[in-house]
Amino acid sequence: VTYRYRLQDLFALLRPTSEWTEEAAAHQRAVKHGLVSVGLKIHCLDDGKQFARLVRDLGGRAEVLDINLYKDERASMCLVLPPVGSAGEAIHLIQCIEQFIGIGLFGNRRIQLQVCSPGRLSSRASALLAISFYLGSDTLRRYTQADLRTTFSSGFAHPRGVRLVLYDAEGDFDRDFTWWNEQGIVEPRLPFRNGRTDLLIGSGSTLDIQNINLIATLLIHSEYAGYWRSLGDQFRLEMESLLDRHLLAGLLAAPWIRESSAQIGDDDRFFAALQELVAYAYGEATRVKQPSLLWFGKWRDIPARPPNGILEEMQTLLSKYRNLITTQSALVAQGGEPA
Amino acid sequence: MIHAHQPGSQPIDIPETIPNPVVPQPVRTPAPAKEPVKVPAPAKVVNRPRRYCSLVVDLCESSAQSKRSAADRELKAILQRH
Repeated sequence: VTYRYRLQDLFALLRPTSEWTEEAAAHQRAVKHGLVSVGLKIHCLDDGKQFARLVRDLGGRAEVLDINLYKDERASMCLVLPPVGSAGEAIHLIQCIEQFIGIGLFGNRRIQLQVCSPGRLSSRASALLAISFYLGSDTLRRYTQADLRTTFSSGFAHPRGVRLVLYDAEGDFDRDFTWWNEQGIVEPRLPFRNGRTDLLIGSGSTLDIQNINLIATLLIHSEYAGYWRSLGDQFRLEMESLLDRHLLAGLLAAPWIRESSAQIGDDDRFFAALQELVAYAYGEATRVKQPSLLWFGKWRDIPARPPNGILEEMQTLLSKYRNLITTQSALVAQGGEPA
Repeated sequence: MIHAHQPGSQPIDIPETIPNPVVPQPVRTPAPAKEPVKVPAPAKVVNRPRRYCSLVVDLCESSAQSKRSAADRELKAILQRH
């Protein structure tokens, strides 16, 4: 058990300070465009005083925080939010909490966000999830191993290692979200009894949540035979090809997620791969923004935007798949059900 | 920020985060300026200040008069002595 309050309790609490209407609240569990549901964890790196009233009104520290043993090792608290139907609802939920507690949660260095997607991805798909998230984010981050260490890193029961992508610890799992299966039938529940793939995004943005939801959907549908399976397979191929063109295909062989077959030194092997990705992305960011000498001897940053830059290619890829899903799901909506 | 320095090369500073140059950064629109609220003017009290003013003037006048009459009396006394 990671929390003992209901989404309705949270809604009732946040409603007076937010623009959340009854009608909007009724759609919290509605899945959009056949994408997967979204769960969130908020790790607070300072004393967490600003959350005190929220935690108290939700039932107190013992019921809301102490019940959950998992958190970022540096964090004073980890607030687990109930899952919602879409990335848009997850963003809205965070914005309502921001209004309630009076501080910004997006782009806040003292707040580390964790985005949870239903279903456990394979090691290779986890690598693709992490790399796509990193290259598609609006912020390029540099990591230390301490940034990725959690209270479950080396636990006995559920060791998760020092990773960007983590599996669940076989705790609560909310299956009651619709799932578009391969035959085009909307099932009332998710096809997995348990299992999640989480991503520690750190100081994140709304774009990060939307991107992770899109990528996780493609990969999960690809591995669990969902309606977007063919798109997911195509995305995997295109992503692998992109990494290959930039001589980064070897990164996929690193242990991006800790599996039961983990070996000693896997944390370091993963971290070396992550550092290589970070160094390449930082180099690309510098190259794209080449300083040029202009008239009158003034130096200015002019984005060169070469067609083959990995950052640009990643954006194009994400945009392409977002458009494909939106267009296809609109056709589905017109027809009543996925075709 | 990491200050990286390798012998024989220029030291460089590596920031913890940098904006992705190909993603348009969200422009934070400043909160709309609040329109000034017109404070209603206090209701005019016509009689009271005038009354107080006249009272003050009266007081001043009476004290001036009493001073003047005292001076007059003193002057008369001096003239009588001479």
